[in-house]
Amino acid sequence: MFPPMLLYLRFGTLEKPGFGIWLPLFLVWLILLPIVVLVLVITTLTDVVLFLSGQPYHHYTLLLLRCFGVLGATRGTTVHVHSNDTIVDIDLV
Amino acid sequence: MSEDRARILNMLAEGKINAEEAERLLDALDSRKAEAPAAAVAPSMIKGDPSPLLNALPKYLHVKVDGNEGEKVDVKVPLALVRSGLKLTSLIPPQAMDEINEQMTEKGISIDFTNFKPEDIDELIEALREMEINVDGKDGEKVRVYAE
Repeated sequence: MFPPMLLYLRFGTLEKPGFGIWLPLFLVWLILLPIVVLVLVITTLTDVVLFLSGQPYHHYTLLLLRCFGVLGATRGTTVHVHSNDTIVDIDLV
Repeated sequence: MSEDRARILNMLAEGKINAEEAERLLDALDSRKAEAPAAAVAPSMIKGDPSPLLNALPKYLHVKVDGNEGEKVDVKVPLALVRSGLKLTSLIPPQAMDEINEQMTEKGISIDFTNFKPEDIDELIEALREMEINVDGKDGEKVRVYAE
């Protein structure tokens, strides 16, 4: 599952509804990709060492991948708040 | 009796679906036939086994609040987030999990996440399909929580 690619934000009031901004989150993921790969290599090595040394817990790589799963699962989240003096729209697409 | 109707009744007889689900399916079948009478050229309205549709898990948790002064709050959270979150808890190192449980107990939340098993997650989400919370406040505010 891919993480959210775009974030739509709109903050305003009834008098000034403001304008929505689409933030390209996919650019952030692209920038973070090398770091993620590096961390995955480190956790894999850590897990191998922990496994060979007989430690019962050696699932750091899987834990990291599940964290990415949680990030990907946020896709589709929407928060819309409209009151007399506030408009807030947040969409993760 | 049409092929689809017979298939639904067979599934009910075999216990694959309950009476409520069968009724829902039959209603859907009737409404689709009523909507598209010209589509009589297609003898089978449902192709294949409809049980995946019946057993489809809800996808979103909705929280809707209508305030008494016109405020509206609409929050939609993917239930995949719940599923992923619970799967994540099964991988948290035991020492960290003990610490989390301790902190949550201190805050008055007595849920032991070590008891969650990944195979229980779908059952939990399936149960959410039947859940609906409606709160009507005395000043006219309404809160609705449901999964779909």
